[in-house]
Amino acid sequence: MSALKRGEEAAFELLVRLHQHRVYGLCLRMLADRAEAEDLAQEVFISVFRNIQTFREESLLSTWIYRITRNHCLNRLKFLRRRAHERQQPLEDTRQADLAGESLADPVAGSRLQRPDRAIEGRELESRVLQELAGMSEDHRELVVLRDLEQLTYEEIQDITGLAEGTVKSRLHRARMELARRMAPHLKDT
Amino acid sequence: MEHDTAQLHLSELLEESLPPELKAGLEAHLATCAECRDSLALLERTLRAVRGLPRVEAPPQFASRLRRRAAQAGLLAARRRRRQGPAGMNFSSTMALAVVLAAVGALLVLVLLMQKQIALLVEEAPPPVLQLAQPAALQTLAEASWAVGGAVRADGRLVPPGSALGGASLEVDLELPAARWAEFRRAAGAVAGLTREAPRVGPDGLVHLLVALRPGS
Repeated sequence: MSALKRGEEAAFELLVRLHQHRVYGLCLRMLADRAEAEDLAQEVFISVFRNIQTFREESLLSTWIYRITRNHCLNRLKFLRRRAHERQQPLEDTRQADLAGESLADPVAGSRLQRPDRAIEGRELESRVLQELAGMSEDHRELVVLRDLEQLTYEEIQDITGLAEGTVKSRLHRARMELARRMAPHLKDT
Repeated sequence: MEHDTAQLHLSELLEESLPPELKAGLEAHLATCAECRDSLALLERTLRAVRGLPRVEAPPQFASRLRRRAAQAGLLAARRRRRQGPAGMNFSSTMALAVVLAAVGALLVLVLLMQKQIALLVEEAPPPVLQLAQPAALQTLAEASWAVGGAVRADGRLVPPGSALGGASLEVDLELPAARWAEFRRAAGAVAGLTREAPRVGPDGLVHLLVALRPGS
């Protein structure tokens, strides 16, 4: 931490190496657009570089980075909604196309040793989950992403979102139930 | 337990975080309520599907693009200056330190070479650069890229589709779905230097094309 606060380049490179996948992953799951997610993840790190002196070490560094990421995501979503509105194009249209591409191009999913029919079913299910997740409201989506995808503790989620424990738990439950309702038609045979 | 209350505690039951008395009440209700059993089963399958999503990895060029962007924002340059050593350090001690560090570095490189691990430290070769003199040609490439669902980054920043590019010297990174290269090529038309074959497909399934605009060159 002291090397980071002294501004040592090697410390920042290590920080990027350690956190790039999780920051990018959170941006991608929130924005559902690869190019926007990469752009935003870079902005997050630029912001971390600029503000590292203000990090008071009252929480984990990773939690602080997540908080910055979450705030950037919400701001970017607001901006994208406004831009889509000005162009009279629903934001979901661009997302659906990108989500389908992302899932099918996923090298990890593609390399699993499975029966081909099962692999296709699995990828279709992944694609459905991502689509339905992208269709949820931001406050519901972020909790499912933080808890069920990133597997953060309730304490970390409270720290990142600034919500009280009871609010996190009740909102997360409503979010999961909403996702379950959306997923119901795709889960019949699983 | 009442039906509505039971519906509120299904997540906690799956996370095994319910206090024993509430858990017993919920389980008693579940034994008699088919609707709550169905909700619980659906919730469980949904969470399994969500938790089974593959981990996402940042694109391979993420760190190098970030470095470029940080340098453009003046962040890396400022940090390098700060690393030049304490103000009070005199020239000879700095030189001595440099000589020792260089010797240690050379020794390390030698050891790595012997272990054939040096390849791990070599950064991925950058994509080929297409040099353009005309802003209009760059605009054509950007529009062709957007038309096939690609992304355009100018000096590391994402450019919104439909924007006008050009003017001063600019480095533009085009990122295209490899499967749509031929379509991109057709939309781009006769831009000098653009090959018929896709230059290189990254592990992310995308083609990366670096274009440098040098007006008047």
